[in-house]
Amino acid sequence: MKRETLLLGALVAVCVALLTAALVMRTRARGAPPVVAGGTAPPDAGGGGGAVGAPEAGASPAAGAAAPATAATPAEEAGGPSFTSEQNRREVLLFFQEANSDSLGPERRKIFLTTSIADQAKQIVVELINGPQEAGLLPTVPPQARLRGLYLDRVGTAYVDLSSEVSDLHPGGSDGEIATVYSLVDSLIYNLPEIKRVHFLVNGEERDTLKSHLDLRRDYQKDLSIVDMDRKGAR
Amino acid sequence: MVIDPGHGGDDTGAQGPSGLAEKDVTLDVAKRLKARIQSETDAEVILTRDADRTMTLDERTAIANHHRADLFVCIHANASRRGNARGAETYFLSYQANDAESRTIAAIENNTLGLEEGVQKNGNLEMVLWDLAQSAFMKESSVLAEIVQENLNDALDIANRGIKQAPFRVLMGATMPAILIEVAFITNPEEEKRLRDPAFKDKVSGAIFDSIKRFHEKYVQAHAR
Repeated sequence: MKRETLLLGALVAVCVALLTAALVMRTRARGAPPVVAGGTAPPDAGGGGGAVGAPEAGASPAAGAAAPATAATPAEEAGGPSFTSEQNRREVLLFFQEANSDSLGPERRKIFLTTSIADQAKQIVVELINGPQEAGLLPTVPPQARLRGLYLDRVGTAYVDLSSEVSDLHPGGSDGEIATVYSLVDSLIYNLPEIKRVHFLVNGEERDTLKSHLDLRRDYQKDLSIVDMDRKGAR
Repeated sequence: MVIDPGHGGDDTGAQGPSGLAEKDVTLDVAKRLKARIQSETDAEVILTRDADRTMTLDERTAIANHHRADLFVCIHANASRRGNARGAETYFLSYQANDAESRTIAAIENNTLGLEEGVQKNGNLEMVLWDLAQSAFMKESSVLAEIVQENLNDALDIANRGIKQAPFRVLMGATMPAILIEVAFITNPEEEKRLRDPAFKDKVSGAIFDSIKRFHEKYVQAHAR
């Protein structure tokens, strides 16, 4: 009799342990950012350190949740710290087409200061797709385009994977294509020096061009000669 | 020489505010240019397309290389999100050995054994070679671009946007002097109107013809002596 009670007690204890383990794992899975948060992106390969002074434990799920602006936020349920206060944001310069010149002009915008460079890069691309908010600037990417993924390799190449609307709905022209490509390239590399070059993918694949002009099979490096920092052409 | 009317078929190119299609303008200007050259010289002129036909960019360059053309001239109309963007500009290829290419070259040079195997494995090699092909003609291409731009400015009374460089896919791999001309902005209502005007298109093809003649005198004849 006594023995049976002991066995029963042990069984209950094992069950409780298993349940707890299952719960913990489930919570972790929910918190795992890139997959759950709607991106196809693998975890940041480019080394996420450096941007935030003291990365705290548990910061990474929240970083993932904060990054893709359009993503659902299941990670919030996991109870990660929320990034809403000013100190968790940083300012970036986004380069859009100036309405009265051939140049690109900068617009200041705040993004979440996530530990992962790739997550900051994603926010920059999403903000560029959202378009300018200030007068005198014009969009450079068709607003229907979506960021499908953004990956960083170890040597600082950012692979930016955009949906096919970026080319299908692009107005074309040499100038139009140059504005689109360098708006993305310059905005990414200017704000995130960890990124050395940008390689474009459309629907996950390499493309010859957007609309028959610029070669998209190559990597692009920063070229600020097309940028008008004083925004003379936006007035 | 080979003249390449930009876009065609499924690839409409840019479109004007009143619906003018870039592919039609480029074909029209190219045909006028061909007629002009053939009526005044005995040079052989080949169009990459003489109808509204879909073509890859590689095919266009291949035609020029296959015929061992002395010149490869691509004709386009420009587009911008700025409706007020205006003017003509002429491009030649910018050659910037990017890191991927440098790495490829290093990989090839380091590969002392089994070169063939190394070449097959290297996806970037083809691209490097294509780039180098046009880089050998960079000087001539820039001179041709300069002459064309000058003549367009003189003939057209159009805003001078100068000569520019960009990594255009169609210019890569051309084994002869090669340029891409953006005649005017089809997205600008005034310039779209001009691009519909046969007299304007004759002026454009005339200016390009004069440029080719001048370039020929400067280079080809000078070398022949």
